[in-house]
Amino acid sequence: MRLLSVLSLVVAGFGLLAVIGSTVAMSKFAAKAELVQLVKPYDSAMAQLLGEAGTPIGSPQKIILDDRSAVIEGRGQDGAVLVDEDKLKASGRYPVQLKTLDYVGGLVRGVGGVAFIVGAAVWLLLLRRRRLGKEGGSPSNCAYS
Amino acid sequence: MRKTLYFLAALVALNGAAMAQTKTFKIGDAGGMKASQMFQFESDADFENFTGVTHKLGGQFKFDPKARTGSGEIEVDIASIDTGIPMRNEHLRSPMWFDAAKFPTAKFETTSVKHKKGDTYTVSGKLTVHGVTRNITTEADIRYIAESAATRKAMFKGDICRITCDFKVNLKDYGVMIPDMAAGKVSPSINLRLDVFAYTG
Repeated sequence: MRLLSVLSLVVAGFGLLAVIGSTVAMSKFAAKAELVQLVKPYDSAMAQLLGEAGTPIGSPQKIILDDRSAVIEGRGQDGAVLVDEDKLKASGRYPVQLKTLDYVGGLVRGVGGVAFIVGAAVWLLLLRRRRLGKEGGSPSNCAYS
Repeated sequence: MRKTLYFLAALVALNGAAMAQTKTFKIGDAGGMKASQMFQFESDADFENFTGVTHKLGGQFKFDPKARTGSGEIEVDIASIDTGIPMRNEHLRSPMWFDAAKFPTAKFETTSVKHKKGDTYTVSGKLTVHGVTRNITTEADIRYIAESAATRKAMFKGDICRITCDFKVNLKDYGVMIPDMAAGKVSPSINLRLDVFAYTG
């Protein structure tokens, strides 16, 4: 019984930690992420002819850019930072999208939340049973015997 | 009778003059232009956005820069679409998804091209994906650039027509079902984008 009580407390603690940790981490990632438009850059003759830096690949996404060596001049739709997709691919980098972290963070918060609630509920239940058990064993309850 | 003949002759002459403005543009590999031709799709799912890109396009486009009308067809090689992850490419080509072995190309054939304003046109046509053909209407940008030193410097051959358009399609409408294990990672509707430089050669 005591082991189960400790285990439930540990589960609840880890659940709470997961919720708090993922919330703090997400706010840090969100502050770090920037709106990025991946582009396939044109060569200078083509860029001059069309008046564009390159062809956009996909829509602008909030991305965490650790290495800014692939950033090129100019701004895209909604002021997005332009990033050379070829350079990213050549260096084998695949920057993380904020929505992916959001998705994973949401799962962690969900699982952590459930773990906290279940752990806390089991711990409280065991605590109540232990108290009732103690009360049941006290001399005052033996009055009718 | 003579008046009718004159009228018909004038009509034929006018028609001939109008036809003379229509230029035929090729779409496909043209040396330096190859990398600029692009078909891409974007999946906007809960987990992430990802794109698939190919430069293997073919077809032709007839366009009258003065009358601002045209027609054409574009074919896209499905097997060459690259999503950046080899395993994902294989999945997309597999019979469970686009079945590239059975349906190697996607095709768009215009049925009407109407000028809206500037370089913007309303384009209607038949889109065939995964062997299923459906009518769609979208807005397209068609920019005509006459041959010049600048176009030649950019490796273009002859006059060029840059065509860009986006359209959203529901995969289900084209018989492409998302397996349960991919739900959340691939969106049920994807955005298709064509960015084509057609040339007279």
